[in-house]
Amino acid sequence: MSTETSSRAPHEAHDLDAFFQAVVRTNPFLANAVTDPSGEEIDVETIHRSEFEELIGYAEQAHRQRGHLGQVVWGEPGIGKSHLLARLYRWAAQGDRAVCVVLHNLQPPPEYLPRYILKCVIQRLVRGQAEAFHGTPLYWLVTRAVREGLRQSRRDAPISAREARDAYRKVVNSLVSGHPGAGPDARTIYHVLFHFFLGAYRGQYLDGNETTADLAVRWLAGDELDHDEARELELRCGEDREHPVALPGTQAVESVLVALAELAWLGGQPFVLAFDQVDNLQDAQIASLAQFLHPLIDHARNLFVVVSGVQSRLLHFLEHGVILRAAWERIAQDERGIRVGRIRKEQARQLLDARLEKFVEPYVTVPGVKARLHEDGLFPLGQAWFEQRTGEAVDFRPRDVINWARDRWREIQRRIGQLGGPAWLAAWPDPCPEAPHAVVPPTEDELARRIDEQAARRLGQQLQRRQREPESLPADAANLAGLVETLLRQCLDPAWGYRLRQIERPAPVRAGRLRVYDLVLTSQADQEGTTLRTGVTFLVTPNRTSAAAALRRMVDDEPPPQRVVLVCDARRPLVLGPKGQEYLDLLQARGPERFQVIHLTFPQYAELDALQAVVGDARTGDLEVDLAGGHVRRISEAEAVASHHRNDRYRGNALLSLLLG
Amino acid sequence: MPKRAAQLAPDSAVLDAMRSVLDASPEPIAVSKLKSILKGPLRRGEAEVVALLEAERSAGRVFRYAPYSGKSPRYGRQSPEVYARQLALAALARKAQTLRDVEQSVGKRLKDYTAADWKRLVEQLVAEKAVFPAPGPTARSAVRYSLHPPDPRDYLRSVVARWRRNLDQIAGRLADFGIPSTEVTAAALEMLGDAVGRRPASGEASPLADSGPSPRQPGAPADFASRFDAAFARIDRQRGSHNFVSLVELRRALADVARADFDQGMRDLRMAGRYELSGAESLGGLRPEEREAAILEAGNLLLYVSRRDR
Repeated sequence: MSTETSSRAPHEAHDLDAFFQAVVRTNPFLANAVTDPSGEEIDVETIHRSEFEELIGYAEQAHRQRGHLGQVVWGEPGIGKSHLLARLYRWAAQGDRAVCVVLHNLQPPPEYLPRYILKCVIQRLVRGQAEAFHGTPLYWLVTRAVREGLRQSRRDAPISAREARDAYRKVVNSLVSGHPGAGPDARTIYHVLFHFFLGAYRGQYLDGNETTADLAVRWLAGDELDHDEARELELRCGEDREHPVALPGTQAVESVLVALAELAWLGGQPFVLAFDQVDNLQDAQIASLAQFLHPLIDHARNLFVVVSGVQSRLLHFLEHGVILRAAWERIAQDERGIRVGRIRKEQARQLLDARLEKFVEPYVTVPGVKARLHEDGLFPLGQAWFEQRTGEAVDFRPRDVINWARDRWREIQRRIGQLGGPAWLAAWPDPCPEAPHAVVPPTEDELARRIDEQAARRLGQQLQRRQREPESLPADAANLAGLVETLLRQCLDPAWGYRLRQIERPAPVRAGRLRVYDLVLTSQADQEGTTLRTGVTFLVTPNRTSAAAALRRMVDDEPPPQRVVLVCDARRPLVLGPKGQEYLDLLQARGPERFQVIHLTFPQYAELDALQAVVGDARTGDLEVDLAGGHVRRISEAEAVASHHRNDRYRGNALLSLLLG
Repeated sequence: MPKRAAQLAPDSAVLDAMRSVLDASPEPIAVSKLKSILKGPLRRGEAEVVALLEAERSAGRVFRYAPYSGKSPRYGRQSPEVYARQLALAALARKAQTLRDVEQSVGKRLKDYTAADWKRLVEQLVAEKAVFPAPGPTARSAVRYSLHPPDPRDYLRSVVARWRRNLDQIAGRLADFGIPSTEVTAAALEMLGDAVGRRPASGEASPLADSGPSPRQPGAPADFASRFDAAFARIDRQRGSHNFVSLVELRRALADVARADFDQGMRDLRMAGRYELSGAESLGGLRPEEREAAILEAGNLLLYVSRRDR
């Protein structure tokens, strides 16, 4: 039986048997979507080269002119938009050509979106805090500013912290003065960035303590700090100790990004913010994103913003006023955008060649393989198969080409299983089965089975992406609350067999400070119609004051719902002072039936995000099943949700299982 | 310093909070509502909130709107023109309506807009091809507007249903004399074809049957490319110059070109690298006319045309 993994045969395996085994055990055409923009990916540079060069041109122009640019990358699903952004990311990373952050699947409530974007950017720039801050992109951004200041002062290392600060201040003055877009909080932001640099430097070279750098990262990412913590960063605190210190508002969020773009300019790099698959956002989220990007693009220098999505959907948002015309004019400064088009037959061939080359490379000297490759460069797929498959069509979607090759490979695996490797090789090329042209609709059961297979595969890819890039999903209460609410809303129909009947979300209040519960759920407790109300609070903060305040609001809530669930992120465990602990004890004294704390692990969080990403892919038409004869059928959003239900994927997650009852 | 004053956040923070709420709202928000969400250190009296908003208004950052359900004025980030456009498009997305219906259903939300303003807006949307006029159900009905061009099927449905009932009655009577209903239906379709000047050829392919690419035929008119260029440029300009034009509109613009000839001409332009087609991805599924206008190739239903710039 073949197992569908993408692992390669060992290099030392040079005999024919090893080749047959590799063909049977692997399928080089399984992956047809980007799972990780920074990961190792087979890239054919000639495909969409001009579109890529146009992107680079914009990035370089933003830096050269110290200006701001927005551009939209659009095309149909499966055409290679995410591949193009992944290529842009790799280009930026090679030789530190640019600071590039690619964001996708943003799920927070609309009013919290700017702050969550900032958090994602900062987490990317410190590589998810998986390693020391020293050496992260954020560290180098500030270091270059310090060096520039020293260069201007004609000073060389070694220097004291005070001298470094003076040099940095000089540079900051030149960046802030005369830049109306810097924002009123600019100097404070640069000041905290310097604390980050100094803290990271000390952690690396002096005492190993990165606490100050960590505090700076938290503040820069929009999190709240206690007064004691804020004073470490020399931030001004109000008189009310109960009032934590945080970035004051959306304009300050924008100012942090503006400052980062300025620092990148000093280092000779454009600052590139790329938003992939924005069309999988809800209307209110995309409206919020556009409203945030509009002033950001206006105010920043050295910034290039790329927004990517399916063209018909983005135009729908524009024509229906979801994205306002003024914002669109910033996001897509050329109304024609960068269109990612279909590929020609010769490029389709190159796409296959690139994956085949990597696969056959360890076996090119094996006599049987060598002979076949000599007579047909597309061995084992075969040129005849390729000609038949592509037929007279003018151009192709890359995803279709990969899927056809994947299916052909499976057929080869089946034939080797039937005939044995040597007999298959001797008979090669097999006659290609005639591809049926007519659309033969599958039965309902068959269609459901194929949708389930495809949804499960995509879910696996999405999970893989998050595991490779945990910084793409930072610990964040608002995003988690938005995600859980979205998923629970997919379970409200009683036909799915859950007890959940209603979800209420208290009116949005700025930064959610005064909300006791993020969600209030009403479930049917029994057949007699008794209901159970559950208050759910998401609390992800290492800040004692905020944590204590949130717990106090829950204690003070009279009368409380029958059940209260407190959801924390295991990556950012609660840090409680004596007051906070007292409140928590009071809540726990209610008993496990009435109060529960869930410490969500990263894999559980990633699972939630991946579930919704699959639904989002379906919404944008990016999830498909292949029908007979290579016909493609889009999986609708409702079908993706139904597949999750059929396979009990919602209840498979510990948190959803608890909330669904 | 008095305790209350010490706890109040600066005006900039209040403005920030109000801006974020206004940004997130598709509708203008009443002052009383805005005031009610300013809690804790952000709280302000109604007069202070109005003063702050008026300062924003004079800077062109917010717009004031007449009260809707309550008595207090409302403020929004979108201009009245943009808001009116949103309201009209949302109303027409629900169902096709007359100008008067539009005005009545959304006019209360934008009391400063006069009937003449609504008329001008709808005419502008029609000119932009964002909205399409269509005849009402009877000859005397007022013109209706919707987000889609009129579909002849909507007007033919009752006629066809009546025809179908008559046909069933006749088939029932003929069945008593040994004439099968399939024969009656075939005869009716043939006569219908004759009546409208088009007889369906036997075995005529449905637009959805993928018979592979059309065989090369010398059928495309000699001036097809230049006419196609002109039609594409005109429609693209009307649609905002996004280089994304539906085959529905292009086929309509070149209605005198037979389908096979159009498809062949389109193919030639693609082979020459001048245009490309892309998939029929559409929110809410494809409309029948889109399905009919699309070209099925290599398993994909292709609907949109773009000029190749590269």
